[in-house]
Amino acid sequence: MKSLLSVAIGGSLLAATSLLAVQTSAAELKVGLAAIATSADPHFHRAGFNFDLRENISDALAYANGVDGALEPRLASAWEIVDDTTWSLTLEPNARFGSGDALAADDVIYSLCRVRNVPESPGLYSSFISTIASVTDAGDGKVTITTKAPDPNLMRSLSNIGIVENPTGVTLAYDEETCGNDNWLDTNGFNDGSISAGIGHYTVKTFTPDVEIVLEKNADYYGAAAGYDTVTIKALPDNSARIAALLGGSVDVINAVPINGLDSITADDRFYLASAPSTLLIFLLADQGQETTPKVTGTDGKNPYLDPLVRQALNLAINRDEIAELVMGGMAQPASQLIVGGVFGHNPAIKPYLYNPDRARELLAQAGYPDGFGLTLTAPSDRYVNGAQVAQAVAAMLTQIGLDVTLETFPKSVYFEKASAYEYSLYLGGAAADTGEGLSLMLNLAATRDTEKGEGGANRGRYSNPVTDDLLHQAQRTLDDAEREALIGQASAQVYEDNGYVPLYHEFGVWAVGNGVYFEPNANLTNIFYTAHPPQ
Amino acid sequence: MISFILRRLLQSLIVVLVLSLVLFIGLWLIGNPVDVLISSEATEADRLAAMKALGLDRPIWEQYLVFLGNAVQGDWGTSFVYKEPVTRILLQRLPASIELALVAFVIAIGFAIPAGLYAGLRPQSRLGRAFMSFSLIGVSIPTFWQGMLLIVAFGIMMPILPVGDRGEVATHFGITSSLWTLDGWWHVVLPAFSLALLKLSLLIRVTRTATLEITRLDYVKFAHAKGVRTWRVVFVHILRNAMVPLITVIGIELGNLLAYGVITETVFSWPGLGKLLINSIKVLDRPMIVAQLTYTALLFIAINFIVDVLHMTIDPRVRAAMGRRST
Repeated sequence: MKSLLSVAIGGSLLAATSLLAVQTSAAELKVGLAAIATSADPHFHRAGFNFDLRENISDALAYANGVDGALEPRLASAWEIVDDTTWSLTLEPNARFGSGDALAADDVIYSLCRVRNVPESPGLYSSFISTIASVTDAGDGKVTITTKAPDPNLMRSLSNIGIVENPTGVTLAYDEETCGNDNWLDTNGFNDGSISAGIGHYTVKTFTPDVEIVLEKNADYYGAAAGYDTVTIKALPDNSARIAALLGGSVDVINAVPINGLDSITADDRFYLASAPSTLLIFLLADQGQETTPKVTGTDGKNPYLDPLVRQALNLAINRDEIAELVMGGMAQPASQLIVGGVFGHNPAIKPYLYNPDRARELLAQAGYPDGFGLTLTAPSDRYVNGAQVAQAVAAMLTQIGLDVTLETFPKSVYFEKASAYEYSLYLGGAAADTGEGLSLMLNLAATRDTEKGEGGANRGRYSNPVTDDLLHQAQRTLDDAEREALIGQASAQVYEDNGYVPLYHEFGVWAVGNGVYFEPNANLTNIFYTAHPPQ
Repeated sequence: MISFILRRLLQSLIVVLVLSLVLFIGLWLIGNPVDVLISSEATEADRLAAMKALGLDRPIWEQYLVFLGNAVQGDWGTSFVYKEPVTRILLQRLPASIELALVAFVIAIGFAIPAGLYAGLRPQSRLGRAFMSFSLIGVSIPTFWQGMLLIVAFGIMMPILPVGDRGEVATHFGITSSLWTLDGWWHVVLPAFSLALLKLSLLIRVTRTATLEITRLDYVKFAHAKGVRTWRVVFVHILRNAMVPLITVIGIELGNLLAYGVITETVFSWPGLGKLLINSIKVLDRPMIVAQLTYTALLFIAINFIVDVLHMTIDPRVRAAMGRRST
């Protein structure tokens, strides 16, 4: 009967944001997510849905706020740059683990050591700490971190690493392997509740893989308290099931609202949409790495995408406004550079691409393809919001400049492996800034693909320009914020000039929320529960 | 009888072995799970580390032999995605699937057999025809669509039933189920009806056909002529014989209910095995997929076995045939 009651309450929330309704919802927040965390272990698997849970249950040293882009103190209450490669962090004196012990330097060292030592992890967090040379206890509640080279983004990278309690009883000596330790916390222990994930606004009460996670407010949290006592996170991967759960009142908030469900939410006055432009860029990338490319016909064996004129033609052929408005239902922002506006590194001087199919046709003729050529556009069918529909629209637009376009789509389980094997000639992809700033995104997309160095990881079309690389590497070593931002901006301008990418749009993060709940949309697409609260 | 069981066991073993081999090779051909699981910003070193951690760096035959060796000892492996033993996750999800299947099964049988019997005995009656039209609609509508329709009708427009989820659970006699609570029953009604609809319609038609066929046979006419009471003719002479084809269909359908409630579980976000299977396939969680499909195979083998035994008890001719073969 409880559900019947909550349905009834949901229905009358607008009519009466009465005391009763507020009290009922103050206790519990129910959230339906398209993907929920696969583990409560903050170091187990690097993936967006795990960042979510980690941020709510296991604080890192800092927090990259996805709402205003700021870097906020968390378990490190302050930090300063001593010299180019040395950082001094002051630990939060009031932070206490569930056991009652205060946070200390050895916990930080243990946690950073554990990042590389999680058995059977399907993807470690280790690249976030790859620049660190040493971590030492400086006494007096301070930690000294030295980096191999100047690393301006150290704290942003560390904002992804949850700090857990050191169980060994000794302070480990940091190195890049096992730190001389073999007593690592067991991942399953985090899930069944026998090991606490650290210090966070919430603690995990129950964890049922792929079904639901129940969080309980941490009453001893050192900072501002969370708005709800209990948060129930339900896995609702199916779009229509997620909408139905919201409309039927079994959850208060859903994320990743599908485009075709926007109307039914806006038409219903019990709910509102909370949306924000995210750092997730959806782009097309043409194969620029080989002389002959597999999926092109009618070019006498040449790879047409090596010609900058052809790439420029692609950029001019696409009506980004129409895609954002019609295909994405307004839940996207047309893009002309990789970094979204408002995020560190965005270059405001870069002009939007003008939609000009006539000019695009001229450029193709200039490049020696007056009659166009045949190409295949490849897109994932189930990875991005409306990804397949966007690819269809793009294919139609490219047809209009005289290209003979075939569209093929694959499920994501096979798509990316083929992309990494360079089996596509023109493909649709997406990338977000995990660190909440632009440099890491640029290195991931626009730097020359070098898997050894960890650069250009998502640059599977292999755009490469030494000038861009140079600017990015320079930015990597520059600690001064203004200088670094200028360098990233120059790199963006270079990519624009080279037409290295065909940026399409930055996707909005869209949440649908019941009127009785205040929920903050987040540009990193992270679901933050501790800032949610009932109306005050 | 014993040799029949032994033969069955041997066959089952071969089926399961072949299935696991096909699954292993098939999943290996589809792609590398690491490429799905790993972050797009990860370095090549991270990728190799992940492959090593999951044992994917070893040759496929070696991976298969390791799997077989462990499976024989009852260890079905550890999920790539959750790092929990797959048996534990499957057992966690099994009750949800069973309770949904059970309720759907009861709805389907409880309605289909009387309705089909009636429609078979009185094919020209108004009610009989109504049953047939209903079953025609039932078999024609796609499950996901009628599921959505039911949600919209009873969960949103007329919000009398909760949508999604299992509701409250309770544990009695060592079984954790939502069927122990009233809230659980409220939750199960809609998905169970949705799941039952197709089976129900199919069973009505099978029952009706079987009844029609048998009603025309001489021994039924003779029984009537002999003055046997109508209810006795219907239940002993007609229904018992109509059960023979019915049981085969019911058996297969029960297996389908238990193993392939995928669509219903997805639409109603019911935390059962079907939903788990779909999500596992999406991320190529091989240990999970292999264990689950093997479980499905075992389930069908078991159900078919029970169906055969039931046939033997109901139909003396089958018993005779089986008996001859096994001697």
